[in-house]
Formats: sequence, C-alpha cells, structure tokens
Amino acid sequence: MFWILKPIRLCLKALAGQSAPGQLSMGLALGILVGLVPKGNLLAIVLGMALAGSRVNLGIAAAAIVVCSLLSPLLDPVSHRIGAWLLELPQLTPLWTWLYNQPVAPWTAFNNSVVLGSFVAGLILLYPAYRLSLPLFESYSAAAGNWIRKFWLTRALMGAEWASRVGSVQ
Amino acid sequence: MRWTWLIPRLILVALIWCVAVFGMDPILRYSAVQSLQSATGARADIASLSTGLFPPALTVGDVALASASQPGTNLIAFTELTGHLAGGPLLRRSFVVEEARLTGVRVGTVRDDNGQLEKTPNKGPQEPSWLTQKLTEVGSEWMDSLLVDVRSQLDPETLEIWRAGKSLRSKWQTRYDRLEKQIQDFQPRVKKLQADMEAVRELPSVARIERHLQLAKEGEQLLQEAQRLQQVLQGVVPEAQRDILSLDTARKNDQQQIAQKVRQFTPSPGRITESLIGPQLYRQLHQTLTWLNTARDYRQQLKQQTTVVRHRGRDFEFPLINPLPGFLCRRLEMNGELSIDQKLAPFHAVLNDVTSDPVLLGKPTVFRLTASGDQPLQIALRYDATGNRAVTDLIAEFHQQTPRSLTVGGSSEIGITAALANSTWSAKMRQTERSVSGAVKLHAQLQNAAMQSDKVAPILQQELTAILQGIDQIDATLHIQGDLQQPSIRIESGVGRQIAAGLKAVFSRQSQRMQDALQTQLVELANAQKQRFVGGLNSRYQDLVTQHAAAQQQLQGARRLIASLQGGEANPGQLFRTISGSGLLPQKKEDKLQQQLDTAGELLKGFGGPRRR
Repeated sequence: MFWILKPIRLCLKALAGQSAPGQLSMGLALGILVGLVPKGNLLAIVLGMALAGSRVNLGIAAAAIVVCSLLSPLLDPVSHRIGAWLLELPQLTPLWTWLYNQPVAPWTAFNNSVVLGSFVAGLILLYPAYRLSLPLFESYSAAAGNWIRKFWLTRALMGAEWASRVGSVQ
Repeated sequence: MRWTWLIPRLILVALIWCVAVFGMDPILRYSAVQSLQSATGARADIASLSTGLFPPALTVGDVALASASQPGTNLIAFTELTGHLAGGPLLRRSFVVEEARLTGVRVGTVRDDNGQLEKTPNKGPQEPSWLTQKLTEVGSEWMDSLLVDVRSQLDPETLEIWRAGKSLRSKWQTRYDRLEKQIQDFQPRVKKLQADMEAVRELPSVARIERHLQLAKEGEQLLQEAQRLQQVLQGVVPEAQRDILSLDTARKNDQQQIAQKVRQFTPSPGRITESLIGPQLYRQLHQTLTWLNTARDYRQQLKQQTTVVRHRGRDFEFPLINPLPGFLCRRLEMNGELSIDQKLAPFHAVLNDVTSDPVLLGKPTVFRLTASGDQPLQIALRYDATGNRAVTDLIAEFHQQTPRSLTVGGSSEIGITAALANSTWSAKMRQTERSVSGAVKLHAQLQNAAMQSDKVAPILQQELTAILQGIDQIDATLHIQGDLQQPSIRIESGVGRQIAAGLKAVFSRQSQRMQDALQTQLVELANAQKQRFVGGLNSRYQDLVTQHAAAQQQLQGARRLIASLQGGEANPGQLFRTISGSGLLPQKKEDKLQQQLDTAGELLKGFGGPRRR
C-alpha cells in the first residue's frame, strides 16, 4: 500500500506544496517563457524539458504555461516585430546563417519571427517575473499551502504518510 | 536525490515516450489520410503506418485510394510502401528518401463501399471540353458529309436538264390541256350555231330576219375566236422548238458542270481518316493528356503537401552550405498489376527524383513504366521544373494484338464496320504550362471492312467496301499543338488519301453513268413531248379549221344582210331580193311573198307612187 501511494503523494507534494518561494517564482518565470513560445518545434520541447529538469515548482510552471499559451497569440504582433527585427539585423546574420546550417537547429524554427520574438520576450521577462513574484510567494506561499491542504485528497495522502512515519517509529 | 524531484520528471519522460511510441504513428496516419483525401477528393484508407528512428524509416501497409469519378472503385491500391529516410538531411529538416519500394500496386480494384466523401472538394479543370466534343462528334461527321456530297452530285434533282425537262413538261402539259379545252369548248358552240340556223326556218318571216341578224353576230364572234385560236396554234410550233433547243442547252450545261464537279471532287483525306480512326486516336490522345495532367497535378499536390503552412509569423531563409529540398525521393520502385483494356498486366515502374523543389535539386523527375503481357506498354515521362517554365515530356508505346472493333457513323444512314488488329500506338507529347504539342501515331492492320447504308446506292456501297477491303495497313498520325483548352489538331494518314482517291474514281464512274442515263431519259422525254404536242395540236387545228369553214359559209347570208342594214337600203323589194337570193326562205314562201309584193305594187300605182320591181 505504501509503495503504491508514495509516488502519488510525492508527486502531489511536488506539485502543490512544500516548495520554497524561490522555486515557485522560478517555476512561474520559466512557465511564462515556455508558454509564450509557439509549440510544435524543437525549441518548445527543449524548453519544456529544461523546465522539467529544473528544481522549480512544476505546478506553478504548468499553470503559467497554460495561461501564457492562451495569451500568446494575442502577443504575436509584438513577438513578430521583435523576431523580425532580430532576424533582419545585419550584425546577427552570420549567427543565424551559421545556426541555420547546423544539424538539428532548423527544427527549432528559430528562423520564424514569432518563435524567436516570443522566445526573446520570454527571456526578457524571465528575471522581472522572478523578482516580482518572489515577494508574493514569500508572503502567500504558507497561506496557499494551508489552503491546498484543506482538500480531502491532500489530507488523506499526507495522513497516510504521517501514519506510516508513526508506524516506522514504533 | 529527492523523490519529490525525480518522480514528476520521470512521469513527464514517460508521457513523452508514450506519445512518441503510441501516438506518433496514429497521428501521422491520420495526417496522411487527410492529405490523401484532400488530394484525391475521395476516401483514402491506410491500414497501418509505422515509423522507425534508427534508422529513420516509414512503412505504410494496405493503402487504398478511392476514385472520385468512379464510385465503388479504387484509383490505386497497394500492399506496402517502405521508405528509408536519410539521417543527415533529416537533422536539417529535409526529408530525403534514398530508396522506397511500392509493392502490390493495383489499379481500378473494386471497393466494398462507394469511396466517396460526404463533401466533395472542388476539382480543378478536368478533361478539356473540346476533347469530349470531338469524341462524341467525330465518327459521323465525315460520313454524313460524304452522304451529302454523293447525294448532291448524283441526285437528278440537282441537274439542270432534269429540272428544265420537268419544268417544260409541266408547262406544256398545262398548256396542252388549256388548248384542248378551248377547242373542245369551241365545237359545241359551232354545232349550236348550226342547230340555230336550222331552227330559224321555222320562224315567221320578220322574226326570221331578226334571228338571222343575231346568228350572224354570233357567227362573226366565233369566226374571230377561230382566227385567234389559229394564230395561237401557229405560234405553238416555234415555241416548242425553242424549248427543245433549251433542253439541249441544259444538257450541255449539265455535261460541263458534272465534268467540272468530278474534277473538283476531292474528298479530304484528313476528314476520312478522322472519321475512320479519329475516335481511336482521340481516345489515345485523351489518355496521353491525362498522364501529362497527372504529372502536372502531382507536382502541385506534392508542393502543397510538403509546404509548411505557418499561420504565425514569417519564416526567414538563410543561405545553406549544402541545400537540400524539403522533400526528395531519389528512387521509388513500384510493382503490381495494371488494368489495360480490362485485363490485368504485371508492371514495373521506377520514379526518380521526385522533389518539392526541382529548381534547388536541378534534376527533372523521371518516371518509367513497363507493363508486360498480351498488351505491352511502355511509358517514359519526364517532368522538368528546373527552369522558369515547367515542361513535361511524355513518350509512350503500346501494342495491342487482339483486334479492336471499329465502327464509324452511328447513324442508320451510313456506316462502316471494321477491325483494327496488331495495333501499335506511340505518343510523343510535350506540355509547357497551358500549351501542348506532340503527336499520336497508330500503325495497325485493317480487317473485315464493310460499308452499310440505306441511302447510298448499292453499287456505290460495293465499290466503297472494295476500296476499304483493299486497305490492309493503317498508318495515321494525330498532331496536336496550341493551348490545352483549344488546340489545333491535324490528322495525317495514307489510308485517308487512299480512300479519297478510290472515292473519287467511284464517284467519277457513277457520275458518268448517271449522266448518260439522264441524257437518254431526257431525250426520250423531249421526243415524246414533241410528238404529243405537235400531233395532238395539229389534228385539233385541222378539225377547227374545217368546222370554221362550214360555219362561215352558212353565215355568209347573214353577214350580207348585216351589211345592207348597216347601209340604210332596207326596202321591202330589196329585202326580199336579198333574202330570196340567200336561200334562207323556202321556195313556196318566196312565191307567196312575191305575190304579196305584186299586189302591193298595183295598189301603190293607183296612188301614183313609185313602183319598183
């Protein structure tokens, strides 16, 4: 029983609680970055995998991805202008040309104005999102943790762990 | 390592793996079905599709593409398609199939369902309308024309001598009837006059004189009418002679005209060939153009299918060191069965250098097909889009040993039946965008040729059949050039010239025969008419003259009496003398009248008046 519940419980803990405010803020910032980049290219997959491989809070990151993916088309004009400006910048042309000739790189669709623009915009927003959200998470993460523990499923899973701990002590 | 970190990551990796392993192939299969359905306009069935990463490969099994134009049949079906993608280009986002193999290809197989989509997509221009029209019209065009020619040349109604003879016959018939009626009407009147002259003897003397005057007037009218009739009859002879001369002139004109028409009658060899083997040539042309259009449409569809449509942003292209097209199939081998004339024949085909970017590749797409069996077929198709204008070249050769029936002229008026055996078709065609040029050639043996017609004379049918049966080989070439929607087509054939020469000879012979017959007929007609007119009118004329002479003698006395009355000398004695000398009064009456006159004279002497004797 314990071996069955433990992975689920760990997943829930990782997703919903008991994370540091820094992890939550970084999860939000990376989620915004992944969410803004159009999907269906290698860049989005790489970013997603990087996010998954980091120690950030995945629950917050997933929420940010969903919200930003919905809002991303609205920001396409801005993304396109940023991307087109960068791709047309003569100083960067050798870089893009070199990149375009590298294996795997064309799959990232970096030569698409919206992809590059949204990626750059996400990178630019990375630090502000982190810095601005950090105080908020520091203030409200405890309250959020308490709120999420009100759900019966959370309580059941946490209780099972405590019960197991008690059992192990005895 | 904390489990709280590891477990979610493992779950994500597992999800991605599941999608890659179990979801990728169904997604690709769904995409392939949708793409094929949009390309063909009918249902596309793909039983299985699997991909491999190391090495990159694609395997598609049991594919059936329904035909949009023929419900219930498949356009093409094949058992398996295997292809190996080149790894290096794939890393640079180029799908390069080094070698692919298509096995178990079948064309025109029957489906369990009708294979039609609920919503029919818009189709591009299909077969050119002019070709459909040609296929339906050609056949009877020349035969009908020949029929008209033969009719117009040999029909007696078209000859001047015939028309003139007919007209004169009608004219003289009417005139003869009218003259005969006038003569017949005249005779009773003369007889009536004679009867009245006899009857006048019974009248009293004074009334007799009065009646005599009336009869004399009528006699004068009859005499004038007889003289007019005589003049008319005298004028008939020269007029009839003039008409006979006009018949001779018409006959000479006809002779000249027929000789000229015979010289000018040159049936068009092209039209004859078009009528005889035009439908066959047009069908072969249609097939060839279909192949050309398929190649052109396939290129467009391939371009559409391999072009990544991005709805967001714009893709910037940068120079590549070793550029490759987005899609390239270097070699595709195909094996299967092909339906030729409703017979399945095994075939082997190779398709080289199919690409989405021919300009970049710098090579044309080449397709070669060889079908064996009773009806061997070879096709070589080269699609070159490396320049500004796409050029499609096609060379095809097809041999057909089994005889194919040939029917010309579907109408009941005239028709030719024959069989084409050991046919060898060859086509060489070039299509540049909307223009097409090339030729379709036919070499075949003509067998069992015969002609049937309800309208053409049997002897002419026999001669035409003999001409056709004398032809054992057919060589024809159809040249096409111009815009695909309205090209100019020209058919050349030795058989056309052969038939045209034979037809001219037949026509010449038949024309001469008809001409001779007509001349004989016309001479007989003219002689008969002449004898009938002259003989009939002469006898009537003689009768009329005789009757007129008798009536004139009888009316002579009346005429004198009229003359004397008009002169104012009417006294009893003079009147008596005039009448007594005319023989109008019987002798007894005359004696009595003499006595009365003598008595009256004696009495008048007593009064001293003049007495005349």
